[in-house]
Amino acid sequence: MASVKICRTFILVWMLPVVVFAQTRPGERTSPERDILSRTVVLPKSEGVTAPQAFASTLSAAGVPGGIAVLQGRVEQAKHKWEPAAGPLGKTLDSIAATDPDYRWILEEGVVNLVPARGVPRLLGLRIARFDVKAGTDPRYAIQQLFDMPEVRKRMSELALTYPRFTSLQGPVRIAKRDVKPTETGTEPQVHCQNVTLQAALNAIVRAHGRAVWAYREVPSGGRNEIHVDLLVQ
Amino acid sequence: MVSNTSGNTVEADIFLDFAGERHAGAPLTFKPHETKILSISKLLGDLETSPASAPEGGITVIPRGAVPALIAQGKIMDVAKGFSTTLDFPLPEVQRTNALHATGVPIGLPSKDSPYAGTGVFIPHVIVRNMTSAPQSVVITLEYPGEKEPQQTPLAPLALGPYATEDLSLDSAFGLLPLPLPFCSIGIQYSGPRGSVIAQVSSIEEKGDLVIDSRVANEGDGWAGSGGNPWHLDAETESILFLTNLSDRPAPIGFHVQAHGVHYYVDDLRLEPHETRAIDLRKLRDAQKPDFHKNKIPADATDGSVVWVRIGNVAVMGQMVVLQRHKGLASNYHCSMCQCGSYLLPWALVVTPSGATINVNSSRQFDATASYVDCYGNVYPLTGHQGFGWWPDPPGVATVSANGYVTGVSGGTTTINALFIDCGKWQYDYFYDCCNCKYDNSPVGATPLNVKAKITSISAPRGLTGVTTSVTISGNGFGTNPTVNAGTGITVTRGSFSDTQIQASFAVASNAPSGNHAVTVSTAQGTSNSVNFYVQIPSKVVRFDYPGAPGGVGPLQIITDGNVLGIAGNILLTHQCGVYRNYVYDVVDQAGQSIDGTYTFTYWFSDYQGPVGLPSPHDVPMTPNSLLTDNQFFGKPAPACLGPDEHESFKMHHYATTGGQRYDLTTVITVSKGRFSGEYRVDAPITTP
Repeated sequence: MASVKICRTFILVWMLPVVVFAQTRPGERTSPERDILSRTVVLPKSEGVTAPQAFASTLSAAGVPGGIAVLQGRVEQAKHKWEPAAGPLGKTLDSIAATDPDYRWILEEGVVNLVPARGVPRLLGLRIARFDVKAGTDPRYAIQQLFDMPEVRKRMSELALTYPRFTSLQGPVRIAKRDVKPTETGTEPQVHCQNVTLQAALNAIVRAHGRAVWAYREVPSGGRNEIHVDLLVQ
Repeated sequence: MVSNTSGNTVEADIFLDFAGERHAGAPLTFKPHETKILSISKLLGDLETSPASAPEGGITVIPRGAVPALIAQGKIMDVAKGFSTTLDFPLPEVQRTNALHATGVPIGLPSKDSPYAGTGVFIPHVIVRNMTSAPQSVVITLEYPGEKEPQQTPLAPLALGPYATEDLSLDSAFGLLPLPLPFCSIGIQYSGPRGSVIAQVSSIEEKGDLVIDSRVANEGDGWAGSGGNPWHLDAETESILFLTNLSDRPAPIGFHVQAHGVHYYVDDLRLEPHETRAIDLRKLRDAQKPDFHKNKIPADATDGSVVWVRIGNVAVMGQMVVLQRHKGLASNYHCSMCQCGSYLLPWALVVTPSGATINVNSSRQFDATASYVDCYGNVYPLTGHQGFGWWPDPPGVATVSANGYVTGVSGGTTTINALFIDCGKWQYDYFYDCCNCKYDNSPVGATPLNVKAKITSISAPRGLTGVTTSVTISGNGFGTNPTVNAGTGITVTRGSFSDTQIQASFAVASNAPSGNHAVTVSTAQGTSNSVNFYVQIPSKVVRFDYPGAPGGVGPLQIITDGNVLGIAGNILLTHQCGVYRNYVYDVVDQAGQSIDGTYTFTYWFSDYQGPVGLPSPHDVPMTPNSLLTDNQFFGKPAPACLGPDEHESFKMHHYATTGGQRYDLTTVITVSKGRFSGEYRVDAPITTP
């Protein structure tokens, strides 16, 4: 019997469950995905930007959730002069990939990922049986919960990956000017995943957020690789 | 001097009143067209008395027979000084009321604005004569210009014995008056029946060089109210027309000056109740103010005529004084022309201004110009707003007060109509000796009025450059097809609208000028007032006072194995050992106002020192009414903890991206956090050059 990969994302604002099944076949785009890729993106010119930075800015401008798997071992990313022309998101993503051919982009279940052309990091390919995130959970905490799962820890050990020695949070996030109460925590899960890859689970978190962009990178440290997972857009 | 104006012989009885009694003289016989000169001194002598023993008194000439044939005039001469004054012989039986009035009387030292200024100091004398054998009282009232309206000062009642003549010198009243005055008018009310008192008013210059006689009219002369007089101006001579409204209601006056063949009209002359107006012909000529026909009194004109006529059934008396200053001469002219004033030409009523445009809630005075014609065919225009009925058609666009004051209510076009509401024509009734209304039809004057829309508010009142902002424009008068303009660089798309509200979106181009843009609404009636829409440029980051973070800075939190909490109490991380502090920031524009729009806020780092490495830039998609909260945590996953000198520091820089433009914010936040020589600290001083 074939396994079923599934992540349900509940958008609480609308109280309508958005259920996305499996992955889209190459060359075929569903109508919502065509809508995403046709969104117009207007970005200013910039210099000295890396492909992941350009990618994050592009998704941020388009209001599309996404994720980036930064090339392993490539701490100092190649920097480029970035002169994007106003145009549809799909075209802008193509131009990023063309600027740095070490990356390619894919669109899955409404989330755009920038991944190394030669393949995603192995940890992201780990299949997890079940992962739930309650409504109202900060995406940073959701990511911590995801990477605290026993099967993730086990796989990290197998791959000689460690958590960062230090934890550092910095940089502002948006809050509502009038909202002075803690965000209500619902009893229903906001994200419910079964038998999906770690990458798909990360995608489910940012999809639930609406327009966040995760970034995964492995940084050599003391003979092993530390994993750093950050939200470049939130 | 008594003249027989008929071709028949006429007999007359002569009476002299003095010392409280009436004394009959010898009857007189007048041959056809004969004129006799009677000397008061001789007549007194015939009665075995003299002027010394009867210094004051009266003379009455009563012709016998049914047909009036005699006319009379008296003259009193000062032999020593050489000036004289004239005595009138009014007919008691034509007096309509027991109230008399004299106008244009100089009193005291005339004020600088007086037409009598510089001619001396005057003492008015009121000479009253009781024509009956019964005593009566007389009340003299002085009327004079006040700051706002004519003022009145009544004097103490004067007892007038039988057949008595009293000369009342008004210098005794100077203490009751706000002298100096330009002139005054004098009302004389007596207690006896009409015609039982006759009076004369003369104002005598202190040195005796000049006497100004004033015509005494009966206030009951309801039909009186027009005059035609000559005037003259030269280096020595002034001509002043005094007009007095004897009634308790406003008196519009038609007024016309003729000189060198030019007809010059004053079309807005209106006397307030009991007002006396002195019209100085020299000032009127020298002002060279064009009338409504663009005519002016020729500047070199020295002679001409003036014609005035009351409009409506209001008693008005007039007197022209021609004054030769240095020769001590004054001439008085009083000539009534038309018994019942003028009547309205039924085809001419013009409302001005024509085709005016006003704003909602703003006002404008409208006037109507009616044309009147007197009994000689002279046409007088009269412009004003009183005495007309006013109404808008259709209503709802504007309101009109009873005096033609128009106020815009809602955008649109209406017609402002005016109708003369007094009698259109008064006609003399010989049987009842009065003026009756012949017809009250009036033409209707009309002029279109446009009322422009008015904007009262706009929300949102500001928007971010490069962003489309939804706005609601509130006001009134937006009509059926309003267009909205917001100035350079803002493309307006109008949505739904009503007469009081317009929904629109303002697409602010990235190159739109920053700051205030005037927003207007145009309708078929014109363009409204403007309100400002402020185009915001992201300029700097400021700390924002927030619950749990007073002044934008939350408390220092040290945890050994605990949760890192956000400003709203939400969990960010668990099982951490370290230190953190929450901050709250706002992004403001060039004027320090909070940014109201959707844009991307980006922060990036420099000058990193610590064990983790330079963080990547981060984007925060901002929406209206949002703030920024920053959790600065540094620590280790528990059970590990920070050593005594494990910390990091860096600088945070920011820019905002909107409409494809990047706006670098000048604010720098320098962060230091962790343990410093064992001390837990999180510091983030903010600087904006």
